[in-house]
Amino acid sequence: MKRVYALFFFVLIMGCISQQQGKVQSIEDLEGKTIAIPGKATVQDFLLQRFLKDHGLNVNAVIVKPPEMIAVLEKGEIDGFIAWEPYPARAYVEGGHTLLVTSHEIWVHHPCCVVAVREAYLEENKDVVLAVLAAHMKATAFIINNPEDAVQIGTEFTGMSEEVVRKAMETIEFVYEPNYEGIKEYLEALLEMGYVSPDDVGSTDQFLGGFINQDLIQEAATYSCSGLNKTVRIGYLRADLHQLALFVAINQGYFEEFGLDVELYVFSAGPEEMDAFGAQDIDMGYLGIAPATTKRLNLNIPIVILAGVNNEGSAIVVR
Amino acid sequence: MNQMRTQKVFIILFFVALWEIVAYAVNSRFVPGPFQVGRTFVQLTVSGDLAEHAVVSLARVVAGFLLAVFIALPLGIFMGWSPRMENFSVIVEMLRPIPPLAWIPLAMLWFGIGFQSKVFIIFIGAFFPILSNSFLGVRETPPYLIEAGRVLGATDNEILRRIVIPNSFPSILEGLRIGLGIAWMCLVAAELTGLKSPVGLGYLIMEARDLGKADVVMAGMIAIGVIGYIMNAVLRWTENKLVRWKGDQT
Repeated sequence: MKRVYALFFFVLIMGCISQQQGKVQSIEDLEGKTIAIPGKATVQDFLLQRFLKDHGLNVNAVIVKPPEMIAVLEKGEIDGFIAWEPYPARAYVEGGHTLLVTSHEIWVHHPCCVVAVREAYLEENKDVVLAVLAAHMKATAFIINNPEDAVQIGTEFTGMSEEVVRKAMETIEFVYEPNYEGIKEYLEALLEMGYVSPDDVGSTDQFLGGFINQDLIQEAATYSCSGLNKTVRIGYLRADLHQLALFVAINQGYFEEFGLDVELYVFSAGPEEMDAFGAQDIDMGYLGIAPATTKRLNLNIPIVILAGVNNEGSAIVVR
Repeated sequence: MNQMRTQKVFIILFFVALWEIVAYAVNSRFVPGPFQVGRTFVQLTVSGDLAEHAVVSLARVVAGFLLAVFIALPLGIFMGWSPRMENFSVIVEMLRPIPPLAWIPLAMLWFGIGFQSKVFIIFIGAFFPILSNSFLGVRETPPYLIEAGRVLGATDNEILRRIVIPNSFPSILEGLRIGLGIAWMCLVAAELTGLKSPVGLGYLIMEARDLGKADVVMAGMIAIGVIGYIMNAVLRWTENKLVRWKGDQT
């Protein structure tokens, strides 16, 4: 019996001693390494696959929620990760890890987060939707015109240091126009990756014509109204600096100006937020275009994309 | 026996029919019907994907379960046997209500995203039923048996090995069965996030969730249900064989 125990613990201890792996110094070193993504069908999953295809590389992609990525990286369990900012910037500033590739280098001006609305909600509450879009536009302009103030709000939103947020902001393009051509490219790639079925898509332009509403953001530019006195439930992703506009709009009181009461719902990745749309637990949301498109098609969750939030702003980090 | 089997088949068919009716009535991608799920299940089985996920999951569950057996079983017997150790049950009673899910953040910090953290979560799930059942089994040994042993001149060691442990066998086996059941139930939680090798039934379900494929989610759930059912049946059968002298345990 003693021997059995001894053997047992020996195996256990041996299992705990993780093998040291070679460090990643160049793009080619990524071959065969373990790289974390926030989830299947996220923008980062998409970017990583595109990047690997461009370089003819293969990696072992594993799923780790972004807030846990740095800890897992530092334990040596993964060789790198791809995540939205400010996680790459934090790994770089606080952990001294390497920013191997920014998503700008993978695909210039690639669309990322968008503002989506439930179809039924849009039909019944167009005024609220326009007000949210107007606030979103104002907040985006604020970020572009007052980068220093935006950094301050970003530190409150993400709970990360000024230095990290400042570094992260360098790679994010804040926008509000929905990027039709970019989203079309996503859709074509999602089809190619087999994440969505051609039977559900039909003609890409016809599908996207219904999926992306490019008119409302124009209408919102001249929208003015106060005393709406309505509540809207908005989803967003935890500490995703891309979605800073939402927090600027709250911080600067843009929603209040329209008489809007905003209830916030936080999610750890886009696919989860889509489930909340499906359950009608949120009315509008800030989330990545990839999960929005994938679940819109696979689960037939009726949402419409109304605005862009950011382009670029993700990066691959390695130990 | 034959009639019971017919009844069981009938109940399953009835359930499937009900499911189909609900799926048809709801008519949503959120509720795929049994035929669609069945097709997905067959596709996953034929491609060998399901077997691969199941084998990896089984390995994780067996490792976590065995670890729990190795630690909880002797500890439970010891706690039941030694009056002084009984006071440790305060700690056990406080740790026990903590769901294995709550250990996930710590499991990832302590053991990372590899094999060990999954095993740890499953270990936590299996540990307490095994511990408390072996503890209770030993504790509830009828005093007259122990007295009789003493009268016949048995040493403490002999009483423990020849009387107490055999007598608590049914309770211990029951604990093992419950422990294995809970270990299997912890699987999805353990495979929920952060997996170094992206395989396992829990992973299959979570990936399908991210992709919005409800039929794959259900196929994975069915696989977990079927394997759990078989494991339970095997253990019950063993239990009945081993403690036949106690009469029918079901």
